[in-house]
Amino acid sequence: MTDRGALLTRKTFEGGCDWRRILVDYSPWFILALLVFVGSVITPLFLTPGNLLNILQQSAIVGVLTLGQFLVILTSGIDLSVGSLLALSAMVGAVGLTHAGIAVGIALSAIVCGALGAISGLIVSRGGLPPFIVTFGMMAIARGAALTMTSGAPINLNGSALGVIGAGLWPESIWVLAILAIYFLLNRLGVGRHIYAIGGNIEAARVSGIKTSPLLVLVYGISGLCASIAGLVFMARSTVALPTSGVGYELQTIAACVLGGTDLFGGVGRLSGAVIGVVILTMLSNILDLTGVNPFWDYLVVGVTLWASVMLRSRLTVRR
Amino acid sequence: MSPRMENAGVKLASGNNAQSRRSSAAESSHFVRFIGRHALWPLLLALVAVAEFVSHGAFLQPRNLINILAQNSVAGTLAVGQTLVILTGGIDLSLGSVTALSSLVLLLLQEGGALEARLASLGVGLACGLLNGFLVTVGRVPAFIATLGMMQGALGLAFVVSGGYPIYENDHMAVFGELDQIGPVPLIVVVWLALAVAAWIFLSRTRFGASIYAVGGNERAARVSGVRTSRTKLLVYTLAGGCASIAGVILVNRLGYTQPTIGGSFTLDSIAPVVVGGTSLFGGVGGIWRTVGGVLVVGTLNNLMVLLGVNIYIEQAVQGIVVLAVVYSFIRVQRS
Repeated sequence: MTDRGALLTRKTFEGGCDWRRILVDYSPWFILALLVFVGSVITPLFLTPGNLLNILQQSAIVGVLTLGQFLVILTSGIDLSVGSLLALSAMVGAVGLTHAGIAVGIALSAIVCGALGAISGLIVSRGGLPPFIVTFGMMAIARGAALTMTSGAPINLNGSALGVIGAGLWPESIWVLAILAIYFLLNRLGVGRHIYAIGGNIEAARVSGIKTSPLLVLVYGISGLCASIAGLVFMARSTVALPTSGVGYELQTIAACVLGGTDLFGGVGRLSGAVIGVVILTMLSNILDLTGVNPFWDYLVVGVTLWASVMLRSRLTVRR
Repeated sequence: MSPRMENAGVKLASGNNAQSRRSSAAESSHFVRFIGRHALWPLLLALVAVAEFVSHGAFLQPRNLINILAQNSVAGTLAVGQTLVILTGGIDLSLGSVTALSSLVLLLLQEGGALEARLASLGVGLACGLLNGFLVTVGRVPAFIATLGMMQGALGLAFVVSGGYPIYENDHMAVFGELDQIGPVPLIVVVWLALAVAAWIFLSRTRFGASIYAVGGNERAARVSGVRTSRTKLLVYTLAGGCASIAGVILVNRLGYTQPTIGGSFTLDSIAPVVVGGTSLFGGVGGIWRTVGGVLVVGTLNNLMVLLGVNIYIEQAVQGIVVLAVVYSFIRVQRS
């Protein structure tokens, strides 16, 4: 997609060693190809248009969440609150929707989640707290708020106008639009270069005149907005807003980014990789589904995938 | 303890561009730091006073106090393990899920006898912790990522072994033999406090305890001066896993059942007291008694909210805010 991520990746290698560079740079594609091969060998149901479309549709929600997570990880941060914010977005959206109409619901969800994300960013940049503890606290706050709104009860949305965007090609389209927006932000606006710079070396970025604080607020705010969009799509798809939804989504988004070649220490990574990372994870669970494995194993598979890819990356690349 | 505190303060301050601020505020900084270091116990006293006032004298009844201790023995036990991990500069996000998994194993094997089932569940907890430690040391995976993976992995296993259903006790498993309490004191509270004492002795009287502080203070310096840093980290994560399975035993003793999703908020419950107690998230500074004090503060706060009739679901949000506020103010104080 762009050479910016690739250029930065190359700098982390010690010397020549071309095959290793290629392996790391294009690892998401290799894994994807491998999975498609394995899937089509295991079951004839896998390579059907219906199933592939299904995979795309199932990727959409985590896909949108991952876009925000990707930006945050680029700044060498982490956002553990995305799953809880998704639940809060659905609850706030549902309450707004049932009381004052669809536009109010969407606006409320966007404002609340965007603001909570921005607050995380503010505490990270101004308070100097480690991002994982800030967003871990925000995870509890958002989950607690979502549960408190209805004392834990779900909100039913049968027959609501929002149901439209849960069906057909809507989730995928929203995901694609969001990808394009983030691509534009990273590659066509100056902000994109600054985000990479912050993750590479925040002190150097600050000294060279980048206003790091507002930028971090923006990045965490965008992550909150992504959670808001994902929550609304989630709600529309299931026609119910659940305060307990989105548990474990933070892990899926992180795993997708790492699988896609994003460096957890920041500054290195490609948008296309993160997108493919999401597809890889969904495909993995789809193949397990088609072969009749207990879906509970999915949790374990995602965890092990994350461990394996983090360890492999730290073996194959050299720390600066 | 105080020289370690000072070191960490300097480390934090020099890590950021606070040098200029430090010199201008040098006069007041001693005072601020003194307050920051000893704020825990006055805070607890103030909370108790408020609770006593709000409840018209119901709070300080012996029955309510014992109740608070019993209610917080799961969180307290987990917090002991979490303290060890955080002292090395790490974090364990998997404690809640490991508690759920090991308590499920306990009840799945209950027909084989209480002792055997408890040993098996202890084995599960230790194994999960060992894997965490292995990933952090040999695998060089950042602690919060390794344990986040374990959080999901153990949750997945908990669902797999239980089929997603709750499991109930056939016969009540008493803490010790047939005994559940001595006089009015529940044995689960004794187990928690005994564990805290053991951890305190371990931290203050053994070589490993000293190396835990050394690793958290400055890992490279510790390694260069001969501390076996990897072995130390491996040990603390394993011990934390062990604490999680003991917490699972306490949980089952209290509730009489368990289910895969039961540990949802336990990880936060284990981190909040450590942070409130003033143990630094960057490692090397803090201790067990601060954590026990933190458990009492958080427990009193929760009890106070119940006394005030606040919606119980907001508890989690309040704990999140408390953690953020406390960490924020500690970092501010140490920089000043």
